[in-house]
Amino acid sequence: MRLIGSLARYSNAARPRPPAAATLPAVARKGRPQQTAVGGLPSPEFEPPVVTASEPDLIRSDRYLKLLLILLVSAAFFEGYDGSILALLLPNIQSTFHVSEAVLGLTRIPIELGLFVAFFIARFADRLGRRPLLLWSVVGYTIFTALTALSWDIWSFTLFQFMTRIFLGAEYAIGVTMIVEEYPAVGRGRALGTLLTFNALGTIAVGLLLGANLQDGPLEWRTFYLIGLVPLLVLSFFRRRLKETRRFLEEKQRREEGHATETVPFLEPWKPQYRRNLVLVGTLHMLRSIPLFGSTAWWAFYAERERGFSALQVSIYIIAAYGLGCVGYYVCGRSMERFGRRPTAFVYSLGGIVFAVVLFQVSDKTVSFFALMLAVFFGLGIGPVMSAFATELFPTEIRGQAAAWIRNWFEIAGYVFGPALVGILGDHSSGAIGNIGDTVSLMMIMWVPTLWIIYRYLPETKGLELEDIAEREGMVSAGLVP
Amino acid sequence: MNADAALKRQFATAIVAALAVMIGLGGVIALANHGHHRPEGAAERWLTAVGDTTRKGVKADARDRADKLGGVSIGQPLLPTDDTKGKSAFPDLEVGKARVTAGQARVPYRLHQRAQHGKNPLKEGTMVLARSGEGWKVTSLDARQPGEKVPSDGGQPPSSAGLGLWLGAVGVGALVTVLIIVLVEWATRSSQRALAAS
Repeated sequence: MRLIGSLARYSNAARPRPPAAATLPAVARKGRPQQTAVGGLPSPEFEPPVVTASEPDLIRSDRYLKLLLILLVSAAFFEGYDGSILALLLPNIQSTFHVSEAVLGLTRIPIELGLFVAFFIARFADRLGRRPLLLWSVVGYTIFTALTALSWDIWSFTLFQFMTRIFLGAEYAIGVTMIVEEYPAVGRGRALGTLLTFNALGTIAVGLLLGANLQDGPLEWRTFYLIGLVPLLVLSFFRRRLKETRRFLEEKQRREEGHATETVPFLEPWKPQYRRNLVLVGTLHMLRSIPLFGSTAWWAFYAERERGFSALQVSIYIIAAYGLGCVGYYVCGRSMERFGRRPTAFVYSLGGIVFAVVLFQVSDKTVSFFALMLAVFFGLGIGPVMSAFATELFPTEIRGQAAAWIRNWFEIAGYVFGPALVGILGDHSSGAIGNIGDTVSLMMIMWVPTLWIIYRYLPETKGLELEDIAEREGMVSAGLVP
Repeated sequence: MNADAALKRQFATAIVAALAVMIGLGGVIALANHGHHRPEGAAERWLTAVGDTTRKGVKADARDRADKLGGVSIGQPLLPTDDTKGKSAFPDLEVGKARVTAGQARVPYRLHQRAQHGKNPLKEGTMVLARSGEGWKVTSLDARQPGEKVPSDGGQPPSSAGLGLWLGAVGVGALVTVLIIVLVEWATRSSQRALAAS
């Protein structure tokens, strides 16, 4: 009974659930043996607690879901856009502010640390709500993006970009959480895929604007940041139509009724009942992000310096191959609904490794094009399924914070260390390997054994509502299923 | 209260352990990098610096960087006569594997000069470097000799990973996987223990 009590606390099994999943045991609902969270093995005979509470309307209308997606994809698009300006326009910014390479390198540290600090904003989504945090994040990053355009020296630029990164990081985590909470099991993967596709399209937009030589206009690179004001206009127009997620409202009501604590402690996701999934999903995010960000940060340099690509070829390859490869996000969203989260994550990880190694080893430019396209398709396209794992496996009361831990601690560690490791080990002068292509390939090879973890440990959540997932993950923690 | 205190203690331990791993890893990388001073790297940096001497806003910094590796004047024949409009003189550049003999190294290069109109002209040749302390400095430019090629012409890369490193990568990956499995199993067991005790 104690275990069941603990389980109920984990899964909120006593709280209302969507009509489709409300009263039937999992086995009867699915019409086949329930898969466990571990290894997909058949679970022992177990009937989950029967829910007797009233059934609220957790399902949003299709019309609202479409509006929500439009709002979130516009935010995701500009998140991808703003995040890419710095990487692609760094030489122009350096020229404007007359700074040395050393100073430029130094300023990147506090700027990227903003994504880490975003954790402290994003975690408030579990206390204050998803809607206000999302709105304030969009306002925050838009304002600081605009202020970046007004920077007067490298240090003001660094400060504004640091602040922008904080809000960008928070917006991403909250956007994914809102999609996961508002969309029913059918359609959730597709929505995540669409969201992240637009995130990638933001990067392509920067590439296209660069190709159109916007940076050579009277305001130079500052024009790119001024375009970043558009989300604020979209937001001011649609602001009133964006609603709080119903799952959060329900959780809030529980708190007000005294069924749960008002505040979510900083270390809540590390508590024993959530720890397993946090460690599992977090480390997988980190292991993926180290080689992934190492490769994306260095491909242009590698292509030019180690394969003899011209600057124009690099631009064309990035825009064309990246553009085509972005379909991977959408296909990933569809696949995780059709084939399941785990097989999709496995195939995408394997594809990401194989095509990245091919990309960083071959010299033929035609093969390189297709390898780049497929490396983007699989390597970056795995985003929706990884985002699903980072959110679906945690109950509503800590979902925002757990997603923030995974994104802003584990994944950002890879974002910082991946490119640094490639740069240090692959340095043509002093690196132990002295070759960017081989360094990235070796890091990709190191990712191979982790496929076993995906296959053996990641839970399958295909077709399950969040309440079902929480219930089942609680059983795993309680030792009721292996 | 006790559970919270224990959680905080465990978290602090994990942070310390993660920092220790990072410091240890940093030490291993520093050790692995120690003693590498490839002439190809110095040649590439010098070319980049020479190219940057026409870039708006960083000309002085570029000249300083080029001087430390051999001087800007040596690279004068490589710079375009056209105005680069504040951009780098070389939109792209590539170096090949050095041929090292008696304190001297020959590093083949291939670059494009920035042109205002039409195609960017191609420039190829070899940089001659001499030892300077532990590092290298560019001393002159020369025509290529037979066998001096950059990777895109079919030449060897300046450096590449040996078989041992490839096998080592698989080993490290396996080790990391085992570590994660241990962590996940520990997390599962600790949650079961805590829930059973609650």
